[in-house]
Amino acid sequence: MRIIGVLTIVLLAAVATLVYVLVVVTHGAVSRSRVERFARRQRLAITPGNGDSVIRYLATTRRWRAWGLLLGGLLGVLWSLRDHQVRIDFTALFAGWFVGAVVAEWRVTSLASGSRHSARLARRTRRDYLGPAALMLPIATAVLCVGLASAGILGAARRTPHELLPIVAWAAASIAGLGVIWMVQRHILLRAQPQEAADVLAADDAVRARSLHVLSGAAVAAGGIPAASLLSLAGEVFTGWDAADVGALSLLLLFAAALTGWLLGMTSSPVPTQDNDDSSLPVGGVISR
Amino acid sequence: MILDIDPASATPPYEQIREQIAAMVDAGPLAVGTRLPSIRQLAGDLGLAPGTVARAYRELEAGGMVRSRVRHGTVVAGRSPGSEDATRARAHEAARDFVAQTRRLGMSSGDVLAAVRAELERDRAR
Repeated sequence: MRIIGVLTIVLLAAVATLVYVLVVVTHGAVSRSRVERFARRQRLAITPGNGDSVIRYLATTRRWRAWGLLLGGLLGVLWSLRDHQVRIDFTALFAGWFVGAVVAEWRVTSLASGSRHSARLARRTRRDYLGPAALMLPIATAVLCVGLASAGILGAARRTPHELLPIVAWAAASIAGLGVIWMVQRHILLRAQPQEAADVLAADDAVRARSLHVLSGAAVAAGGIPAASLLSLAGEVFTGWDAADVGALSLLLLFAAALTGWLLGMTSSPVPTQDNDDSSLPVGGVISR
Repeated sequence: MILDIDPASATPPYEQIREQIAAMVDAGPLAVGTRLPSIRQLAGDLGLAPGTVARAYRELEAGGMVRSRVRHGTVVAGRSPGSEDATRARAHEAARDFVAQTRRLGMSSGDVLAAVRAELERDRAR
């Protein structure tokens, strides 16, 4: 009991320290290197007209992702205390970061703040901002989850209906998660874009492209969790599958999804507009005020 | 292609939207088959209520200039009926002037038709 008490105090102290560090980090200034990295990735020229808006976007996403990560980690640790253990759950960490990232992208407001009585007569679609991989991989992840769930349900139906519940639950979770991503992406596309100066519009498009890419990557990485679980469950109900092999395959699937999602979220995602013409603007150029 | 709404104008916003889109369709920048922004997108961009944009789209559809289908959005269908009549009227006026000029030159109807055919062939070959 004494050990648990000491552990609890240590844990609370660690959490307090973490919260303090996070508050300092999330409310501190966005570094120039971070702005330059964004500009390089999006092939956007940062100008006095759009710099503040880009900084505001980076600060918002950093704040929510950090808090999501902390909350996820905290909940994972609290959950492990039920078993009288202190364990860092990486799934909970990622889930927290994921929720934070989704909330951040939802809360980003329109960069343009003009008179809002002029607008381009052009329909904004995902294809305008996402490359083929970013468009197709989340759909492929959804198809994989549905396929594994179907295989699991078919196999479970041959044994006990009781085994259906976790399969249905994971399938529902994957569809719900991907549905949330789709809705947030739609929200981003519909976010107001009144007619503004060229540099402000270019930054607005760059932010949208980045947001949509991050969400696509998050969808693939997050989809790996239910996919790996469904693979385990599907493997359990089919005879002839070695449990160790199924476990290894699930782990591989989880890792592959996480890596693919991370790469997708990190890749350069410039928007092909007339204002981002490489021949006229320096790549990642930052004009100091 | 930019839509501009003048909030101080006596013309209601939905009519301003309808007029400007109709003008772009008649003039050519908005080709047949072009998908227009969704009602929600355009309303958000212009800072208007979705109902205002919806009314503009409804009026354009009633005039045959756009076609709306569920899940496919609103698509430019063609020029306004009046614009075709105006084009035909301008063509007739040009023909009248041409005929008057060839009569002053003393050309016969056969020579006039041959000249027109030759020009059409030359234009097709370019």
